[in-house]
Amino acid sequence: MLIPAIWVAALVFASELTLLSIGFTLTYLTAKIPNFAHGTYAGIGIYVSYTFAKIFNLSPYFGFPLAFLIGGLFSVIVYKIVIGALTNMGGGAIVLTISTLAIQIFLTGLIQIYAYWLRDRYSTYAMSFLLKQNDFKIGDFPGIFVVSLSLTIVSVISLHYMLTKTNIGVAMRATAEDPELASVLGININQIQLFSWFLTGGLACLAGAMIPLWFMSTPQSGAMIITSIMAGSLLGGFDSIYGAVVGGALVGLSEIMLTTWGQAIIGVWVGEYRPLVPMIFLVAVLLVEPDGLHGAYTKFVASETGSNLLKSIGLQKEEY
Amino acid sequence: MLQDVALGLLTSGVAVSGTARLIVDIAMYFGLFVIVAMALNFQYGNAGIPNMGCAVQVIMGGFTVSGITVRLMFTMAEAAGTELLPWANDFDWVYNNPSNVSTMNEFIGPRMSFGVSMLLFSLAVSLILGAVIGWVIALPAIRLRATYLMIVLITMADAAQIFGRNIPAISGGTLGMFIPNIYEWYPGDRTVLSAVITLLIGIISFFLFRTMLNSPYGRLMRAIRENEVTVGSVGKNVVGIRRNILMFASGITALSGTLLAFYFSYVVEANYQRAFWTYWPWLMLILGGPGNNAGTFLGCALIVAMRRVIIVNKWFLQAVFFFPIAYFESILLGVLLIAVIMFRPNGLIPEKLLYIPGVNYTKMVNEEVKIDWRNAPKARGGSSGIGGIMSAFGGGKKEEES
Amino acid sequence: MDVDTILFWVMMALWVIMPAFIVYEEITERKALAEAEAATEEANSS
Repeated sequence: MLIPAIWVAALVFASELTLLSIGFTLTYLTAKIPNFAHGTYAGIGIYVSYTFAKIFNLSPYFGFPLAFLIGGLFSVIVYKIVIGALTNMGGGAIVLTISTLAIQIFLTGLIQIYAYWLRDRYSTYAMSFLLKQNDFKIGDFPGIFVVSLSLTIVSVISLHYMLTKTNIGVAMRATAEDPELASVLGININQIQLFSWFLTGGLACLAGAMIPLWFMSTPQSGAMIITSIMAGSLLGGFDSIYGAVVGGALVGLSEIMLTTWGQAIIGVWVGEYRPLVPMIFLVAVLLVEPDGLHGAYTKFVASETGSNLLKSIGLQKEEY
Repeated sequence: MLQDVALGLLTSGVAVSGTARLIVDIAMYFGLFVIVAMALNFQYGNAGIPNMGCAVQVIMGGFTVSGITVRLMFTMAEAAGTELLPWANDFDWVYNNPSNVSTMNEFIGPRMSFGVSMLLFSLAVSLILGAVIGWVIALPAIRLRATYLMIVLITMADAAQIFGRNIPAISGGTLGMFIPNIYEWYPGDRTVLSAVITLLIGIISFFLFRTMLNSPYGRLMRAIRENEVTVGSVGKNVVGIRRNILMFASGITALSGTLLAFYFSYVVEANYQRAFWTYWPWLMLILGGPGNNAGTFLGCALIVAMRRVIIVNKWFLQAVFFFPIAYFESILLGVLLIAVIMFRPNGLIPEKLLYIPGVNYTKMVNEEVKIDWRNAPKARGGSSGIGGIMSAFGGGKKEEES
Repeated sequence: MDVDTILFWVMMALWVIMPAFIVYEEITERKALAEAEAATEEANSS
């Protein structure tokens, strides 16, 4: 194999986390709340993959479009029933955040019940599983490596295209900037919100569907991954999609690589502390630069040396 | 469940049974949760600090007992001439723990003052350590917007559990640790005694919080919740006050972890999950109505009674469900939280206007502002009622950072 | 009389006293607030 297995794992995780972080940031941009239920959408995706692989005996890749749809559907339902209604009632940021936590708890319970039902009905190991053997191989690479990387790159590029070139993307950005001004200009905010929730839920569920192809999955893994998602999004700056791409990739890579290197250098016991890596990122970002990479970049561009440097290499341009 | 194992192994001096046992259990949990929920009401209901890290503070209380008090007990018992198995290194600490604890129980038996002083010692230490951990976990985000604080505090609960799981010196890792029964000198049922002590501490902390809320400092807290920019502009250190409130309430919250450790005579990190020690108290607070103590008590009593009754009768309920009833808990918690937030956003007992004897607050409000803030027209970005309170804190980031 | 029984009733008393006190305080404060409001309205109308 050209690339060591650990780098494959790190890259797969990083690409999944990038997708999740983008969705988290999109939600934050449009709804102004951190959506704690975002990781749980990934948990739904995990079980879509599992159902396709073990119950229907198909390749889990056939489940990806369905995962996208189901995730989007769940997300839209969540928005319709809870978040949208609460926003109309005038709930503040904290109330909305608590409601997303409640949704996370509820959805995790549903996933657990579904997993238990699968185990009961089909006598499969639905509580803790790995779908590596359902994967295919492209040359020396496992399929998931190629698929996850390409899916992430494709979705980042298409998101970029959508946000800058299409009407709906521009409308989304306008809604994120100032909802009331956008509505004055004739943008249907409700539809834009629905669309962005559908998109984020779908992306999260798609990323989740890729998780069990390389990583051990349980009903709780969706709820577990939320710390990494938040760390990636926060590292990116919390309100910049491009920041989320970089942040998610960085946190995903470092979560696996730092743990591996730590295990090699310090001792095997470091592996137990893997969930601490994104927490360290969170705390460090908040202590050093609360606006994350996006804020740091903005400051760098605004500073004299930064703008001179950018001018000298001909890169002086706007952030968006 | 590990609790059941612990209770089975160390049921020495548990005599009350039947319905009385259930009542004692509910009283004990009511006492524990009322401490947490009141501290939460102090922080969130009155000062607007969304402390999502209750579990961290409770876990600190438990770790204080297992990591510090037990060592102190062993040292003192050895100094008094009792033979204990070695407990110096991690392996011995965990491996010899049950037999050491039973030796300790015999040691505590005739020495009432020792047991009481150990209880007081661990309460004092957990108060201090809770305040310290409150300071530490608030450090990254206390000056930023409220959602950042929530994110950091929620993840910290997991971090505390990871440390507890992997460092056996704290609480025996995944195996957990038995705690000497400090109520061994008491001839009757120790659960009743510990319930009484817990309720007493609950009452003391209630009066503490009540005094603080009725003092000028309490009005300052409410002012910060309503509009921190105004408070900052009249020369108050908003971040410092918020940090003080968080530290104080963290210390009180840690007490309930200590009391829980002594109640179970057992500490394991799995007992202090954030789902249990953060989300349920939040549900109690929101159900009862943030901002007033009566609501907190009502919410606490309702939720604790419901939970304990479900747990006790779970074999009857199990017949109804096709899945284990443990999963039903998270469904119930999520649905209740959402339902309360959506249908009773002000809780069962809404917050009243602040009554200060001698000051006609209503008149002041009517004359100076002309409108009640509750019925104020929906402002841009802001809102009325509870939402207005939240957005005052969670609103503009740029305002808060300046 | 057993120690347990005594303590049990002490516990029950504690359990009742605290909420009772809170409810009492809540009611008196609400009453005082209502009275103050009524007084203000009277002063305004006259």
